[in-house]
Amino acid sequence: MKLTVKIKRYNPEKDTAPHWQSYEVPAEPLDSALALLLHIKWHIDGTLTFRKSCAHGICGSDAMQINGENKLACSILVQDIVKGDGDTITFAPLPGSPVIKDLVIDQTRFFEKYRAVMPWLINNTPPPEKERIQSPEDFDLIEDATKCIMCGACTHSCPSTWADPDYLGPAAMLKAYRYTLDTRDEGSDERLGVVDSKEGLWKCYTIFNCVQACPKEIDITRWLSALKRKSVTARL
Amino acid sequence: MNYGKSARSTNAQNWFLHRITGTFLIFLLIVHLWVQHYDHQTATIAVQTVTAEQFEAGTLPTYPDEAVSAVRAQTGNATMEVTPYDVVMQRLSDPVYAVLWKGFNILFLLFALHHGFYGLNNVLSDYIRNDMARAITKVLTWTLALVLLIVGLYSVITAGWNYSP
Amino acid sequence: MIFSHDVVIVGAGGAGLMAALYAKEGGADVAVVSKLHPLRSHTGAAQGGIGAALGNEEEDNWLWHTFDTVKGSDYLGDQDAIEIMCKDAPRTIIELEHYGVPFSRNKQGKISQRRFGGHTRNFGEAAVRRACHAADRTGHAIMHTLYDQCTRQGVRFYDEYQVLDLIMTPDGACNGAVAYEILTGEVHTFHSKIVCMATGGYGRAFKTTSNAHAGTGDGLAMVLRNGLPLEDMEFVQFHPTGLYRLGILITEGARGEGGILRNNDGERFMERYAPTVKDLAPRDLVSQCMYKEIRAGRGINGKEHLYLDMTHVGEEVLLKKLPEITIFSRTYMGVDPITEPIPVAPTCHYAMGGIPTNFNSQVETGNREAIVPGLYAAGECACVSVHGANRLGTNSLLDLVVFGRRAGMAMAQEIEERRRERKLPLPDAPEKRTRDMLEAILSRTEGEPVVNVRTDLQQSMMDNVSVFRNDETLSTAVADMEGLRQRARNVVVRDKGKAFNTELMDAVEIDFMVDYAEAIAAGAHHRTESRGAHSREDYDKRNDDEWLKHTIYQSDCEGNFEFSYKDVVITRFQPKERKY
Repeated sequence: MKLTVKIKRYNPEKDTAPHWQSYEVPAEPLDSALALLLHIKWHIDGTLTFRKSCAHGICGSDAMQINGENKLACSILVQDIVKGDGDTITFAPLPGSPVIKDLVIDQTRFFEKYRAVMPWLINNTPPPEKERIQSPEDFDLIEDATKCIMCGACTHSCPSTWADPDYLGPAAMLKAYRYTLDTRDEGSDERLGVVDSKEGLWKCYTIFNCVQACPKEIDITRWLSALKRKSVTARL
Repeated sequence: MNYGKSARSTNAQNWFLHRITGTFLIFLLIVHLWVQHYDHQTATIAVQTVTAEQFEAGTLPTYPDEAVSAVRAQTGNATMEVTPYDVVMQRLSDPVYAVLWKGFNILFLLFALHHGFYGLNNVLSDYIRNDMARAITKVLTWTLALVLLIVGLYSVITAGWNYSP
Repeated sequence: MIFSHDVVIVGAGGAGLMAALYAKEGGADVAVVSKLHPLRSHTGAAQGGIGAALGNEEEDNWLWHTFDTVKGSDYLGDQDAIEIMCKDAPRTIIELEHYGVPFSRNKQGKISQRRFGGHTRNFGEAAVRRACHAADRTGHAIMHTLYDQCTRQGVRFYDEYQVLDLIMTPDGACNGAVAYEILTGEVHTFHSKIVCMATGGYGRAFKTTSNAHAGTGDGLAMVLRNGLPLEDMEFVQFHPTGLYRLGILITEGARGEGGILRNNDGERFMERYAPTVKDLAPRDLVSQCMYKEIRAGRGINGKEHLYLDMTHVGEEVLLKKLPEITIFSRTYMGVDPITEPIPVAPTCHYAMGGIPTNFNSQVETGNREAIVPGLYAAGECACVSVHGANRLGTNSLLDLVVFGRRAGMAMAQEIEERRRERKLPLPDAPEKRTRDMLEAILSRTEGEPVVNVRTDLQQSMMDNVSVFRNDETLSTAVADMEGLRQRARNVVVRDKGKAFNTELMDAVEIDFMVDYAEAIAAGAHHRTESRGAHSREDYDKRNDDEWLKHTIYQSDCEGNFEFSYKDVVITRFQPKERKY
């Protein structure tokens, strides 16, 4: 089939504002959305710019807005987006961060928030000779959160982040959850000091956009709520 | 942005209160709605509704017989016309009901104000990002909440004093 | 601009991050320069596990692991290095666990281990549970934890800076690298005492691959162009179970959990080829058997694929232990592995060969005694050689972390020893060669687009240098390279800008690709025997008399290359016939 692919283009060296550009692209139902972009870049317009790498949803490079929803371009197929021949697919950069070029956004702030939550295991007890013991049940607590690929689809779908760009956002706080609830971690005081703040947890109004956007189907809001409970009990 | 460098805010407590008040508000609202609009046994101001045709024809809503007779019985005036004000005042001047209903209303008032103003502050701080402006907004909104609390408390506590229809 | 650091690490996958972490903890000033954001590196795609004889599930021994790896390598692996890797494995895994890697756990709360191809107990008796894993996203779990730790330690990251050249002194020492900043289009010099290559594999040189788009093996070409050799490039691993047509990896852990390969008759054909370990035979063998089945007309409905049957394994195992591959099958093939078999075919997966190094990850000149001062390499781009002619599953992550760690510690020690020394002075205009190359591409207005050259190269490699090879196909491939080289040097890009010009980098990568693809094809043509993943139809036997040696490839990158050899280190295990 033939599809119309509409892309929000922006070249910082030429444009003052983003504009839409359309391409006619041949496609198969089982093609990924990324395949459409690659077709354009390779065969029609080499100036089209986007990030990509693994092409099967594990590296997190190609999160973008496809038909208005934040998706990984490699992990959504043409048949899931359009009904048939002649339909239109739109691509735009993730909303809420500055655009560098076309579909490439500046993630500086996104990773600044990641660094702010102390995203590493804090444990000052000398480790045992062997591994630290962790029951499968305790592992289950954090397993879902460890699936995060830091693609940014959640944070860039979060109305709280759109309204207040300083808000830590779901990705960073999910990372805080992943370490704080890890039974091997002893740093919850320090980490809660960051997330239990005016730009932290309490700006999550359980809107659930992040859960809908997450390409790894992580139940983000659930884990952030657990982190809120942990913060409150830590205070009591 | 200097994450984690500022002192811990009072957000954790407020957030937790927000959950508690929210939960209670559900029950308070259910009681409120029931008493005001559906319960015909205790004295209520619930009206029996009229259809659009009846309204056009000039028929006005009437009170249930239980409410009307309760007011008439208390005032000793068996022919008086009963207004909503009469119904409420009758309830709040009743020596048994008054404590219960005033307690209920004060709780309702406190919970609704905290719940609403915490929410309002959240929304405002989403869009006002200057620290100074935020502090001013916070003071202003909670001052407004305090004023409303005083007005509300005054109304609830004094209602029904020296009521005579 | 000139950036100055003690250590510059090129690439931020498992090996790069591991080296960075240990070098930084050892007191060195470390910079990691990567063409992708570190979390986008391809280590994150490693699924099934990391091998270590922890013995958490059943009795195990590092010596058994060593034997399996030697046998898996078809006796081409250097046994001293393999022994070090297998001995280092348990303690390295424990260190990773202490750093916070979220490994799956068994009932006792220890790291859970499962079976994997080629891993056996007591020197080949039966399959053993040796693969530590984090569900089926082991690489992801390790890489993210390493990045977290590097962040904690304050490693300096230069994200989206693509290294395009090494800086060598006239004496042949390495003292820096030249990188293109993708964001701005600026060319920068990194001046350092040590450079460590961790640039990964080259799966993208083949049409069907499990590797990322970024897996273009740039580091190998840079090494060649600076007059240094590559080792054992003819050994390319094809993973048996890639999703049909797409090449997306279905982990060997799927067979470790009980998955079975079936042909069109529904037969479990691996029983015929490897009666002891059946579907858990090493990858080279399984891939070759799959091609034999397909050639014998037993592909599914006559097509070039077979089935991986997981239906008897059960929903719980699939959802709990293999969630990612369940999702991949559903998303990309519309096949639910709980109820239907998955269409699979071999996919280009791993480079056994690479930059020759010793077991402290120092780069050698092809001669065991002569190291290149200031240059290290670790991970898939390096050839220690622990994988020999065929790598066992779970040994790639192990290679990354063990030799990344050793590189990090060795570099920290070297920096400590050279604390008082100054960095070797930069040559005049170290960036000139790179600037000229980029300028030549940007100023060209006539020519063919990158994609044409790349597609033809990938097709030629797939047709001629994949699982089965012979003199005819390999001569064709070597001959193709000459034309492809000229075409790659004359591609035209439409994007002439400075900001985030990824098309320009595509053009550079295809030029690099020809250089090492030639090494693969020429090496395969040169080695007239069948060993491990290198299977020659015209020389179908292993020939230890002539070929129990590493090939060392050197090239001027103009079509003139030569081979030399390096002995295989044999300590405990004498070469025997390889049967499973």
